[in-house]
Amino acid sequence: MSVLRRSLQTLGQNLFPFETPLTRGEQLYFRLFELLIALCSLRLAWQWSDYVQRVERVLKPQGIGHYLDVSFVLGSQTAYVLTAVLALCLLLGITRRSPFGYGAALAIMHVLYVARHSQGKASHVAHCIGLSLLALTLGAALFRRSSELFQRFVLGSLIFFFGLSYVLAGICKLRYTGLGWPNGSHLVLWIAERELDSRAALGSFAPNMLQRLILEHPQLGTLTLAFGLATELLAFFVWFERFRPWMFTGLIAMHVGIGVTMNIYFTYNVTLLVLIGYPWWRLIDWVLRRVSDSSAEPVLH
Amino acid sequence: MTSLSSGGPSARRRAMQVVGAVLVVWALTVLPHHGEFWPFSIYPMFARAGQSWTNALMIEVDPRGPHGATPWGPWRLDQLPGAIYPAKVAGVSALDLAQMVKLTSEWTDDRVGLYRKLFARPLSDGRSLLLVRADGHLSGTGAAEVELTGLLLLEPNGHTLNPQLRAAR
Repeated sequence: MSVLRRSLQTLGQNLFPFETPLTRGEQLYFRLFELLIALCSLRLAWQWSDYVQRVERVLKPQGIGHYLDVSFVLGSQTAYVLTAVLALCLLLGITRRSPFGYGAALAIMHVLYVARHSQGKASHVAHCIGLSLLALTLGAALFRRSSELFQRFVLGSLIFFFGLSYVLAGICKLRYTGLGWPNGSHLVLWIAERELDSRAALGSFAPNMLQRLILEHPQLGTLTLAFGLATELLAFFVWFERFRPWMFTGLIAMHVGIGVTMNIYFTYNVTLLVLIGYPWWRLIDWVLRRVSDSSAEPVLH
Repeated sequence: MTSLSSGGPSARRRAMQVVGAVLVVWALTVLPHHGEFWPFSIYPMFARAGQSWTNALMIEVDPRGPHGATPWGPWRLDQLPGAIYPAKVAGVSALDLAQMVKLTSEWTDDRVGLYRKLFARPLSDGRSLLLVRADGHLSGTGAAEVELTGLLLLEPNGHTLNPQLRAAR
């Protein structure tokens, strides 16, 4: 057996442990995951719909906007109608009434994202929600007859997409800047840019303690950036079960670092990292066992 | 129906094939579209470190300035001739404002109208707003230097372009 074949087999076993039966805790946990993705999708769709009301034309096309004029969504109530249809599609997906509910939801979210970000800036805060919808779409289409396989496929493929995304981000930094990327003066320049962003948005900016320290001692910035780059490049370790909680902890720490040093909060990413990075179902199973044990205890008179 | 016990390896093979297909679609969509095709991306944010950047903000000004002329700069951040008008108060994303300035090479009436529409609320309150471009770069000593230049004065009943931009039209 070739090395590549063996590696793919190991990767498959780590991502998709299809032989292991689902516990009640895992089933409940997955329902919570689906509910969270639906709520996040609706929140984003509502925010995007609100924003496009005052936007008239496409300045820089994104996604399907390269081929389809999405200006019909701008400056009209169409975005709100799409959000209402999105809610219906998500409901069809969650209740398993249609294998295409999640797919339609993903398509609508794509159109709304493209319309909202047609002003030039491609935001990355919502990609994790889009990837989650993609995993649900594929899972529902492929494994609709088995909820166990569906659930294992969705979480496994999502973990794969997450690991890949962070590794790609790390590779981009090496590609466009090189090994000198983690240089403290780069972070000093970004903090100055974030100061401008903050002043432009809110009218004020007050550097926090870590930002002040980095501005005074750029070497500290070098350490911070080096940690971030190393974490991104090693993110493929989330694909392997035994390293998963450790690597997810590193990624969460990296996001906390980005938040503190640059005031950029990837709330959806961090929420999902916390949710899929740790075996929360063990806690749910433990609680369920305690509840069933206490209800089964004989009552003494 | 796929069973967990018997269908494990074949289901896993199928799952891996699907993930492989997604990788192909990921590559085919992002490569011709500058690395972005939601929800796929190559995540290029912060990839170009140390390079100069352009940002933008809006300040509230006395349209004729203290000496009867519109001020255009350049200034440092602590020398701005008016208070910053927070984009958030106007319901505008500061990141979008910066991107719009980056994408505006020709200051046509149509483009000026876009800025006017975004800040319609404060303008209808009788305010005069100056759109300011911020250019940041690293100095030779590794410190950040930011220079600000006035681009477009928006008044309730009209607008004035920085004469240097007008000359470039």
